[in-house]
Amino acid sequence: MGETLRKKRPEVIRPVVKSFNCPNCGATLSITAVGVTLSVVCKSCRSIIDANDPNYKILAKAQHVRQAFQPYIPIGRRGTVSGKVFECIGYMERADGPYEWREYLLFNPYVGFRWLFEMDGHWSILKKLRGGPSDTSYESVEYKSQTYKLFNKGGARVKYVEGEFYWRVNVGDKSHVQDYINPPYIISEERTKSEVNWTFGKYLEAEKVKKIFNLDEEPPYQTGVGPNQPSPVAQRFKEQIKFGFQAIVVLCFLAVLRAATADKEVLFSGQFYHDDSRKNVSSRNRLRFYNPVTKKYEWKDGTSAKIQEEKENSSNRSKIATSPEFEIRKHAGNLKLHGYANVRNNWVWLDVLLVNTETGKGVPMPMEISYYSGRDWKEGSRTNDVYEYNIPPGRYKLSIKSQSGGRLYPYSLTLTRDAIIGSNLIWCLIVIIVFPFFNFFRKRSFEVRRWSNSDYSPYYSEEDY
Amino acid sequence: MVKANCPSCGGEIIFRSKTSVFAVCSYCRSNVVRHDVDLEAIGKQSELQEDMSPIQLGSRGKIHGKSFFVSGRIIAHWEDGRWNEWYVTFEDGSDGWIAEAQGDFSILSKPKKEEQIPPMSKIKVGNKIKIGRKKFEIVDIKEMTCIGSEGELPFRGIEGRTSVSVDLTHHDGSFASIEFNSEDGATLYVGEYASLKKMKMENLRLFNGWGRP
Repeated sequence: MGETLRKKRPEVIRPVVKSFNCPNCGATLSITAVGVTLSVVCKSCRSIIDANDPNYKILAKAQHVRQAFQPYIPIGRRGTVSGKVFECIGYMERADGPYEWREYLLFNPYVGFRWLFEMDGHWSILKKLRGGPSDTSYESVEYKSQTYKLFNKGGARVKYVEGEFYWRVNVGDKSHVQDYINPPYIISEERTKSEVNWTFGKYLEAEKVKKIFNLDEEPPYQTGVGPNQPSPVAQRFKEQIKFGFQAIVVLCFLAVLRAATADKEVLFSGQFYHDDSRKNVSSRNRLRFYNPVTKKYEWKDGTSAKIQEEKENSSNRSKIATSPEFEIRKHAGNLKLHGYANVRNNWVWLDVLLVNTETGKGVPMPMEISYYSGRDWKEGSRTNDVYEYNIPPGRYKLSIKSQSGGRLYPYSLTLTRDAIIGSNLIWCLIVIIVFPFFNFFRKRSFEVRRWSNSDYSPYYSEEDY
Repeated sequence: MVKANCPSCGGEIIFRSKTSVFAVCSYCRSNVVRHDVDLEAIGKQSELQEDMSPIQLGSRGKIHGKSFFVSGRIIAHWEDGRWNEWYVTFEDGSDGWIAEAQGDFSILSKPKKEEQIPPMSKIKVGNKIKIGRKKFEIVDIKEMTCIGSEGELPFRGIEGRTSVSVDLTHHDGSFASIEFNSEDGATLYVGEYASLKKMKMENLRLFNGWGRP
């Protein structure tokens, strides 16, 4: 009868390895990326061998090449990136004049090659871009609907190689490179006489490189800002702007709520005239008071209430006035004393005492009102506000001793309970704004430092003028 | 699917594609040409030079809803290296190629409409050729030599076969390939770069220590 075809378990085979002897010095060399690797550097004599040639011809004889750095990731070391096992199979040192950098070729048989690029301690992981960016101009390129700004243009010369590569590499090979950034991404264009290659990459934190390859040594020291290094401040700034916006909305809502629900109970409001021809300091006032019978606030026409003139100090131009009694209920909240005096280039000092008529104790609420002005300047204000808090409930009166720099100015006072303190709102807004405000400058300073390494900085520098 | 026997050793040879005219006997490495009625052995090939390619004969995949099966391979060599061209047969009977070079894969099939292939004189790097509605740019011209093959192929994949391989690209990622051969004429295939994942490939070679594709 027919056989039931059982699904065979996928067979795991030994990796294909190609070994041969260096034709120059006889050392045993082996290739990892068999079939793709084209040049191999002999570990012993540093000759570059053509891996594809049946006789393994020498491409470049043993060179006394200067090795500037020990590769941070040793050849043969494996690490897992995005779930794929990569082996570092090649190491290259390149330079453009005094600027040096290092490139590590990573290989995985299923997904191909990747590059790890390191310069000044900043790393990026890159892969070849097929087809190039969708739009190029002198200053920028477009890729996946994002703009990449030209950061640098220059040459690149191979200084030192180790391991295996998929093209015929040689010390001294030159190419022209252009880098475009869109932190954390970078697009690089590399041109030789015969071809153009585009690579696309993303910034990789140095600590991650150490972790990926399980290395003991610390990664190379970082200096400056990497071209595509993401700005830590930029993210924070964005979050703070978002938070600040939300906070301002909440604040406005709370402010409106407070404004609507505050009692704003006027305990006393009156005007004081100093009329030398009149014996008394007259006043006009309307009192808002709490009627315990009707349990409601009522206005009482205060013309019947009189300010008693108590004393006149003959040596100082001062007069003392007293308000009628009023009641502060249980929940005092804040007390706001608002004063106004029609001063002109002068000052008025109001020594106000909030006196508890039962205990006789007085809480001072002094206030200065001064206003000066010239043709095109002014200083001070004709109004002032003084606040007092935590006043226990009871029966009170205001005792006011006024002094002035010149004549005795008329003044008015309004004592409100549970008043709205507008300046609080201003302070809250300042606190909300101050952090993103400072971070805006920090963010800018980070970007200026990033672009200081570029010949195409959008910021002015000392060299511009 | 046509089953036949190798005229050299008698081993079984399977032709899965109607367009295959050639196969390499998996037992004795004989080059077998398929004529209308019978098969003819025309010499033997040396053992294939092994590589780390994850694709093998029998690998399967799917692209744009069309399933395919890998039934042949030709190893192409040029002055700057070598690459694999895997011959695939789609479920609708059409054929195509997976080109594998420098770790990158692209899958190509015959264009929907018969396309005018430009003459060799127009083939220069940088020239633009119209294929379908798109303008492709010639990015690469290689003189390639076959250094080995396996499975079944739409031409005689014998060692030493030379041809000119032309690569064309479009910035949207699509890819085209023209091959000029003195005996087989000119063929054009179009396709795109695609990862093994995108091609949903199965029955790949799994290498010890390298994890999964």
